[in-house]
Amino acid sequence: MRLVKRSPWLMGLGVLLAGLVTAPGARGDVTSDESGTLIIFPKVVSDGVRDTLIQLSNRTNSFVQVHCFYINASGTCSLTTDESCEIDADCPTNEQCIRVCNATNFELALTAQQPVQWRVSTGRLTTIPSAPCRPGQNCQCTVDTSGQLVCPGLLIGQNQASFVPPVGSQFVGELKCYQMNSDGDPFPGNALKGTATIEDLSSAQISEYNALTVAANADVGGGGLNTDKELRLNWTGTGAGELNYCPASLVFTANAEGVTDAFTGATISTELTLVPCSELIEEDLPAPVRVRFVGYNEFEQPLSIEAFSFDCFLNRRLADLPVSGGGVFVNGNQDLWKIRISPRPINVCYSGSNRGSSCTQHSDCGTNVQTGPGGTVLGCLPASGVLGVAEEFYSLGGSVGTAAFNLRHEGSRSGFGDIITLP
Amino acid sequence: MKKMWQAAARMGVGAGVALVAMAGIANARSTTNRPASIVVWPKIVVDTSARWLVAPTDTRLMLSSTNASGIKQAHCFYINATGHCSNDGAGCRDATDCGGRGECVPSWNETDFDVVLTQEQPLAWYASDGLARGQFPLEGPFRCNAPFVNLQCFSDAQCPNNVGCNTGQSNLGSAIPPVPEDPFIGALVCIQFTGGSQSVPDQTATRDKLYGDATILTGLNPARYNAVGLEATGNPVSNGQLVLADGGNYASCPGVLILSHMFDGAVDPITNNVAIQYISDLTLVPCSNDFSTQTPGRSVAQFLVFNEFEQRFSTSRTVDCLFHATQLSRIDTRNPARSIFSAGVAGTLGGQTRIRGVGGVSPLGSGLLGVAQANFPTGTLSSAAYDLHQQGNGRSDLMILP
Repeated sequence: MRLVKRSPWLMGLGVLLAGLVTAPGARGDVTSDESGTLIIFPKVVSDGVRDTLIQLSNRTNSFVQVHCFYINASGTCSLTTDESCEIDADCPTNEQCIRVCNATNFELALTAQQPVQWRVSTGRLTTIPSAPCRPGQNCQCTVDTSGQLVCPGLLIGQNQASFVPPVGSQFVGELKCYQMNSDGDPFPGNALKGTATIEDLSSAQISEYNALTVAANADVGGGGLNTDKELRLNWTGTGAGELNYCPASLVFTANAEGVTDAFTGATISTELTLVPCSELIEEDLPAPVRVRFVGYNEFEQPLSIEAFSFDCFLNRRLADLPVSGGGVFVNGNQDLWKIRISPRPINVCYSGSNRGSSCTQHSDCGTNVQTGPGGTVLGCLPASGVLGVAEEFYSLGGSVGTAAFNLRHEGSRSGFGDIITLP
Repeated sequence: MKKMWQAAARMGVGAGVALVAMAGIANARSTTNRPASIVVWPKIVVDTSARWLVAPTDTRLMLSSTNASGIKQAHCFYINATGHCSNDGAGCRDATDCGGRGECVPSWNETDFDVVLTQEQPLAWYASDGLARGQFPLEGPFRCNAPFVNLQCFSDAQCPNNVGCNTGQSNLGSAIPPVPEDPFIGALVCIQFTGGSQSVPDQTATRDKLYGDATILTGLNPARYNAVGLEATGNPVSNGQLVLADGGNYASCPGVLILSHMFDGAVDPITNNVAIQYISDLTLVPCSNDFSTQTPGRSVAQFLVFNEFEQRFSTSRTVDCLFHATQLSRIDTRNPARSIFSAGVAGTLGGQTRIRGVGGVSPLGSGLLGVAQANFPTGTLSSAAYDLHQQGNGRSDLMILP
């Protein structure tokens, strides 16, 4: 009987120590240089021209289980279905850009401090045994008869089964993963960190960025991360809340689209990728995003795009913001732009017959308003926060050099924050 | 009585732990995500004659202000870490740049300058060129105040009757020199000042308004990274000594840097072409520097390397002013094939390396900052720079201003 007696004091101490050990962020911020419980790779490309190498690591000395979902964000016009699109303006008049944004789920496990990597198009197989590389030999992966990658190393999984599934060669979208416990529920271990390398298949030009991570509140008894299958990004770093809030705005400095680099003579173009902080995986619905762009050039002159809308994912050159060929942050408007991207302070219907419309209450969203797994009504909610990454292209004489970089974050959202519903 | 003592002890310990936990959460450390008051570019390379690298190389630096109203001044220090070969005096990064005929003798010096940024302004320059008078976007000429608004001016002294020159917000007072030699390897540190006649390190409500970027251009190949920021705490700086610590003037440097990397010699898993193999380089700089006596920070970087099998290896190297490993597999040996950073030795393609700065010369600390670059050196050069991850707060570091 003595053995099963539990001390509330020790439990409290344990919770506090767990909080101390696992809380990596100093504040309630999304970061790209700390580990977290939720990790986001905003730009994953496997389109036959480029492919992506994902590196995912466990920062802790504990065994970690991870649940991931690829979100395929390719879009087509509502009537002209053979035409791909990013936003409605890319489609013929009176047509809409329809993004399916369906998720492909998979799970994996990482041992203490373990780094793993995989090629997105092929995925990676678990093979037992997998012999290590040897000095003097080429250290490389092979492609299995199933088309999946087999690499030297250790993966925890069923032999000859996918450690990570392949996405094929027509994928553009994002990858989100969260740490979970053995029951499959989100676990606030804050152990995950990663990088993505996007590579041109013909020239081997690479761009690399750090994945974005969101720390979770380990204070389970005090309103921290729970098991209701709704990840709420509503934590300031202290008090109640599940995961850190998304930033109030993103900011980055870019060369004006089309400007000539004086050192190389190359023409520079920048591609911006944005993903919503909110994600309706369980309901299989794209999250509506409403943002405002404000840019300042080196002469302190401002330009803005006031109301820009997209669903689920945006991957667009500055030359095409706000519309194709009609970019404002371009060469003719000076050489350098500092651009701030902020979610608009409005409410939007996340589901229902009026999905995507501005609203003030749930009833504005019409019929079939859905409810999340934890009971949150997915009707009239604040427009989603955004996260992103950018990539520069230096073009000269048919050759292209590339470089990706992380965006800066300013402030934190407040109030409801964001929501990710899990299957 | 005994039970009461135990209860009190438990409460005390619990409260203590709670305080420690709270302190751990409340204190900040360096960031590559947020604007800050100290901005550090750990790696700047200029090699316009391609003496070190396969193609002419320059670094394009960006410094931006997020301040919505008013100017911000950045007081900056180029740190020249270029060594010189013992045989011919040529610039070098390590002995391999001396052609095997001499040693690379390390050297260190700093050059400081000021940049004045107007509200929300981005600025960019090439490290090889700098920005001279006449090259800044907002330098005038301006107009004298009424009633002499038709007169052009650059300063108050040029306007009659002491009416003053209406400069508004401008870059006047800025001058960015070129880096002092070519080839060059070094770092840049900029500290946000309040500006004006009594300019001091900015601990006002509008601190933390600067961020920086660097793009290393080797031929047509760009490698861009975010400069590292250290946020101000609001505690005024005294005697020109900037304390980077919990309870100090600025955020702590990280306790541990974490580098995700492919091991050197790993065949690119994307193309699976054995001719395309990863070679990564790493640059580390100390958080501490004594700019007043030209004494660079110095510490020992301990490397703890994990492969996919969870096996670990370790090594260490001294970081004196700036440490640049032209390839990871030269950190621990002159024979890269036998390095713990080599894929053949590590046994797997990918690795994770934890880097901790220890030692340090009092009163300076031992914290480190850094940046990495993945390279495919064969065929058409391809590379990508990326920021390191971090964990925990380091101990106290110190920057001493001249």
